Amino acid sequence: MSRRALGVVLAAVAAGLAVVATFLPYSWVGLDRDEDRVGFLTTGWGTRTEPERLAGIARETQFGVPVVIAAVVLLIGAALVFLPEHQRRAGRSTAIAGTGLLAGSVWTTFVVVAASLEPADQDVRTGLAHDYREGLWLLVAATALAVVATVLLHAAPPPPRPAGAIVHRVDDEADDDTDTPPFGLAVPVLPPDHPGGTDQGGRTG
Amino acid sequence: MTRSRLLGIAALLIAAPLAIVAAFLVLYTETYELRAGEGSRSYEYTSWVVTAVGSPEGTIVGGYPLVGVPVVVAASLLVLGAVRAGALWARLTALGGAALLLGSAWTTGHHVLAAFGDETPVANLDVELGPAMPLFGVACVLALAGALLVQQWPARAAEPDVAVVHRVDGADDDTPPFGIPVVDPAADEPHVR
Repeated sequence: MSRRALGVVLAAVAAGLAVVATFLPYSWVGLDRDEDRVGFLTTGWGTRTEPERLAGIARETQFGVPVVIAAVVLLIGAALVFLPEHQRRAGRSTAIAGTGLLAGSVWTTFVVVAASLEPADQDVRTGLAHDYREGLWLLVAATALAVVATVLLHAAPPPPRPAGAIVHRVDDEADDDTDTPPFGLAVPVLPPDHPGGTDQGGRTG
Repeated sequence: MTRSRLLGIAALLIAAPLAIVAAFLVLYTETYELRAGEGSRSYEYTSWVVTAVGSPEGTIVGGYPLVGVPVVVAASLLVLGAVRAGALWARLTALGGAALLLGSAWTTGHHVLAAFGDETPVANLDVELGPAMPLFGVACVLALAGALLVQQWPARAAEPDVAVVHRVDGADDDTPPFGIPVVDPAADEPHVR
């Protein structure tokens, strides 16, 4: 598989991972003792409060919206690679835009969530947990994957393959004048009706 | 250098400082109206700090989202792209920077929008939008327009100077599109009156 084809696949995977990540929890702030769960679970689409009657205290930020749009732009960029050769640059530019959008929104999301997990008045004696959750890490992984995919999409095309056999020189100190050429010495062939010609060896080559 | 690229460079160089200025302006202000005539307390949120207005508490730095960091990085990418706009890598850097700025400003917008849903049981909370978000919007539009203008667009197909005729059906035994030229026998003869 060429580097560009790998880039297309990775861009599609990164877009899918980013969308999945918005539905996974980003963070958990609260108490988690036996049967007594109190706290806030943040995802890309708001905050789930446990128990429900406490809802409304935590901020309901829709972090997922720009992430999903960025994933769509990234997918479009990957799909545009199938355009004819002279228009293919459009796909690579679109992939850059999608990756930039994803990186910007994930970065800001991370900063906002991290700040909510490290309040200035944190007191360890309360036993309150401040946990990063898998959704946030998956967002970061999807962004890293999108960056790799975009770099691969911009890889130089594979060089054209030469027609015919390829000979590699293994001896660095070769002497062109005395060494046997790579395909041997050509056997001189005389025309069959030549007065001095023989039938044996006349049809080699 | 073409006119559109010069325009693009100008837009990028305006967008970058605009975004950084917006990062230092107030995103939103929260005012708590305390009960029983105890007055009110206001907090101003920027992309870096929270400031307690008219209170000895002053500036609270810790535990606050530094959403200005990606904005500053995006602005420097915009400047880099504008300065070296002759090279392909720099034009693509400008595009990436504009997208980075849009992504972070958009998420910041959702963060600010969610602040309007904030509630507190102990006081009457009033949230007011600051000047930062509209300025971020202007910076994003300028950055995107600039990043698109500096790109090298493929040349358009040349416009033909003669009339263009489109054949709508496949038959080719019809009358030719411009008709059959009229043969004027009188043209060859001398004109006699």
